[in-house]
Amino acid sequence: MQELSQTAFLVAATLKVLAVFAGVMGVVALLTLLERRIAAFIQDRLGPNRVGPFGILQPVADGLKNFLKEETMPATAAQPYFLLGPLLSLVPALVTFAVIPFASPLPTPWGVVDMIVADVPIGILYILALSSLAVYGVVMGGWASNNKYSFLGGLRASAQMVSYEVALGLSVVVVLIVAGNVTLTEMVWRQQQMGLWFAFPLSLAFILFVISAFAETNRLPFDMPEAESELVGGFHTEYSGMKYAMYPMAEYAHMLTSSALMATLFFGGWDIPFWRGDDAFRHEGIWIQGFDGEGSPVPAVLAWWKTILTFGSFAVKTSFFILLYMWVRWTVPRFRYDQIMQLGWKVLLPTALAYVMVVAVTVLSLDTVGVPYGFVWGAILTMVSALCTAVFLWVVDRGRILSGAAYGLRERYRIQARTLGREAVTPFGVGGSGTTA
Amino acid sequence: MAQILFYAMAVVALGSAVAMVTRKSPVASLLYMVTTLASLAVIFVLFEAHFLAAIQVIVYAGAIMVLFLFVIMLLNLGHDYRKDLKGGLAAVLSLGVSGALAGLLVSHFRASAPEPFAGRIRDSGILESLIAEKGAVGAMARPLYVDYVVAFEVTGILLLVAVVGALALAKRRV
Amino acid sequence: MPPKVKVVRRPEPERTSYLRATLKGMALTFRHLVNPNKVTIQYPEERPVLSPRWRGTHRMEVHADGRPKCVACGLCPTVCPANCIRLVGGEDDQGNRYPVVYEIDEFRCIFCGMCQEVCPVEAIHVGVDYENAEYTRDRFVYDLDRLMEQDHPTALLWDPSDPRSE
Repeated sequence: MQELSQTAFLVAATLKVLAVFAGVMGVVALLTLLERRIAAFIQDRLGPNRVGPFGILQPVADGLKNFLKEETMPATAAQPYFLLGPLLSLVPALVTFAVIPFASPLPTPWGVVDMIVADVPIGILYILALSSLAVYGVVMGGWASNNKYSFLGGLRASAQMVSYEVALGLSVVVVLIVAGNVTLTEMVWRQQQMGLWFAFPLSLAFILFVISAFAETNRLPFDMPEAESELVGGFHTEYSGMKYAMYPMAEYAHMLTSSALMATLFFGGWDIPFWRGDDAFRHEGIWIQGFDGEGSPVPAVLAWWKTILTFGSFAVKTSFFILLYMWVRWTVPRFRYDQIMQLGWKVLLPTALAYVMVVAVTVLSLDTVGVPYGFVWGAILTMVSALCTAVFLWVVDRGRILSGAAYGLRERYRIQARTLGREAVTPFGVGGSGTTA
Repeated sequence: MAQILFYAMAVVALGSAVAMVTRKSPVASLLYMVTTLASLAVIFVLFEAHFLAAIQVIVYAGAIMVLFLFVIMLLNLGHDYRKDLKGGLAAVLSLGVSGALAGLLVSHFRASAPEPFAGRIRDSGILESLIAEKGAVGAMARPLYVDYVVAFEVTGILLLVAVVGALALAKRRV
Repeated sequence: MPPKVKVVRRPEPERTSYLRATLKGMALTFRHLVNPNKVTIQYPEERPVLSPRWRGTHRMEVHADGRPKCVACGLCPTVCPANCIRLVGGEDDQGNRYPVVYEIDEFRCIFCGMCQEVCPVEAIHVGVDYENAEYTRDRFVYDLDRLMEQDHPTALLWDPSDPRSE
């Protein structure tokens, strides 16, 4: 297994870029159809199934429609920003997929090609950086439309995205503590080494990441920026034709990337569970499968069919999370804007900080005691995390955060009753005020 | 190849910086500043300082600039810019001061040898071994959290003081 | 006199679990997701089942020899709320009245069925038919020949078991 030469590397890189880009665009188009079908099935109807077999060609029809539609430009809109908004939204969404490993390395006659478009040393920081840039597209779209509703939508969107980036980053920090490196290939490797996927030892981080990812991609229940029934279209009200189509494309691309990230960070990426044969990592120049009892590396056996199998595993995991996105969308109602902000800053941020501390203390004590990195290490961390998750779910899940007007109702009735000198008649029953005048 | 990219990015950075200070609309200025920061991030990547490039985009272009954008949009600034343009004397003074500063910087960099500290780090190969062992981020974490941890914590406390001060200033008198 | 107060007991927000509610909701949507009975009718392979009283586009009944049953009495244009029937009556050489011009403007029609109700000879009917798309607007004015040619079932305005029908 030799290293790739310069030209072979360039050729491989070009092919990977083309394949991944085409794949992402194709999947995004199919996701529009999948969303409509799943929405329909949940609502006891069939979705679009006329255009091709099972409606497969519906995205083609939609794309053609968007190309041929009239592109409106409001007369009072700020023209360059109006055109810039969809661009700033779409480009980061498409490029983010470049650092996600999607299969085990492929042995070719010219060397081993690893199945990741760009194995940069910064790994997940690249994704965080690009999701920060995606905020601009939404804000620009909202502001440039010169329309009160769009502006509100854009402003709310940017506030929401910025707030949940913090919680997102902190839940990723927990994974970084356990994985030791920022690159995503290392994270997959460490999960393979531990024998456990990070969703188990870091369950609270997984929950926080899922919630923050929903908010980052502006999906229900954090749908306030689009808010179809309240703000018309939110920040994309004034757009039509291809400029409009770029916004949903960006949203689905973000969804795809978030699902792939969830799969990679917490569910092992392209790893097939309970099978050591697919583990592979480039350790000091050679591809190893793991370390045997004395600590010397065991070389990996790479094969093209393993690449295909692991890609299938990655696709299954990513699809599960995409289906989760869609399933939740058609189940829960939308949060109010102040509820979103409260959740992001008052619940997720302190929880994530506390969890970082707990996990760091646990990892430090485990390493000081001398437990080797492996299944036992992971199992202990799993128990600690299960405790934290239980506490979080028990404490936070009570109605305090999301009850809105109903919070403290009993108290208010009681005070009112005491003031008026009679018994409080509340929807919770007739309550005594203690002392009546 | 890297040379071409460096010169291209340098031109973009300088051009957008100049555009930023000469625009009438504050939103245009802001977007040109984001362009400047992004091209600086690319230059950092060319210097193999990947972590710094990522942090530049995450923190500066992605968070601080978004907050600037908030303020500009919410307060609807930038419509009476004519009041901000001062007269001819102010222009002469400001150009003079900035020209003097630029000259000072150029002469300082031309005169002094490369920093001895950086040269020691570079030549002893510590960086390569650290990066190979812990990755780029790990190599940066060691001086930050181990060697200079006191300075790091003091900076954090300084930021906390700034946040508390901002809250105290902005808090409404109920 | 004090108004009657009805107290509705609700669960207290401080003790409700939103996660449990959300998970129950997700279970419900999942059940709907895998439910094979969908309400969609796959038109044009399946047609919707219409009631026999459904009022659609019109039809003129004919005698066995092809003459329209209409005697040009003028009741249907009088009763029509939308003024969509144009009738010009005439007598043939045997003294029978017949419609010289009989047109119904389907665009104006509100499909109330009163023309069928009022017709003394049960000539004009509203029919159980909705598939009448055309390429031009003037094709929606049905003249007498077209009305006589239609072959869709007519609306059943009276229940056959009602002794007052017929």
